[in-house]
Amino acid sequence: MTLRLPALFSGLGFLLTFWFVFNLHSPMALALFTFVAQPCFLVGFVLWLVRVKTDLKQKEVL
Amino acid sequence: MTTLILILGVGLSLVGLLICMRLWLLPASKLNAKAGAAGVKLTAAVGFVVLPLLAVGVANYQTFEGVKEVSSCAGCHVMAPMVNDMLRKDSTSLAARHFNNRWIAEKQCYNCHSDYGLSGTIKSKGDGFRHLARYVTGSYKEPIEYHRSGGFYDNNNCLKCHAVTEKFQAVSSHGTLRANLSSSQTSCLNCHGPAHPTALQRTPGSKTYEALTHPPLLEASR
Repeated sequence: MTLRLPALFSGLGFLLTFWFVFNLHSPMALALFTFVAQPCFLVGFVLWLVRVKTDLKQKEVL
Repeated sequence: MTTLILILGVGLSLVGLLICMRLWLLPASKLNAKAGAAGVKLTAAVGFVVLPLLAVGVANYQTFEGVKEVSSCAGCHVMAPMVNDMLRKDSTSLAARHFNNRWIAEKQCYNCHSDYGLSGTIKSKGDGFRHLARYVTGSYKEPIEYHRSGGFYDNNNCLKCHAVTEKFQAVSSHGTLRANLSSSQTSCLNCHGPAHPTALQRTPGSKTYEALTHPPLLEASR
């Protein structure tokens, strides 16, 4: 199991955040940051947590 | 402040992107190897927790503070009739008089369209997100209508500044109608309106629509 999926979601979040800070008064950039980038960060974080939990279970820590 | 947000936002996003690319390219064998595992875990924690939190914090600061600027309102073309009218020196609308006489020094749209107090401000933000979603999905029809607080403008947005002035208190009808004004049962706009161009003037295809939407005056006014 790699970290590709959480990296993909977080990477998309950073990309949209980058676009938003460059276009501060663009409604589309603001909408993409608010409704897409922030959920992407959350999904990336949750997927990473799942990966950590799986890892710990494999090592019989959990 | 905008420059600082730009620098911080760009910096955090770029570092975050680089870390995500690095984690994307990381082979499974390296993830499971004991040597260097702590470094990978630390990088992942930074890339998936620390940097997203910082980037979201910086960008949300702009979302909550930057959108108070008139230029933010003018970003959506449905607001062009209101903003252009407000900037016109010859307009007699309430918004234009407040803007051109500098009765409100800055953030003119926000000052009149955020209900007074903390809950009002949060409600304003909620409305803002709803308007944003409707604007980018195109689920609106011009001329836009006022739906806040059941379709009427909350007088407290006016009274928060005017109620304490001697000029306001000297007008006898303000005293007579005080209760009605406070509860917005009688609108300030009945005597002092219109605040913006009428719905008819803002209807696409009307004689005034083109004049109100072109040219954008905001840049010229700076």
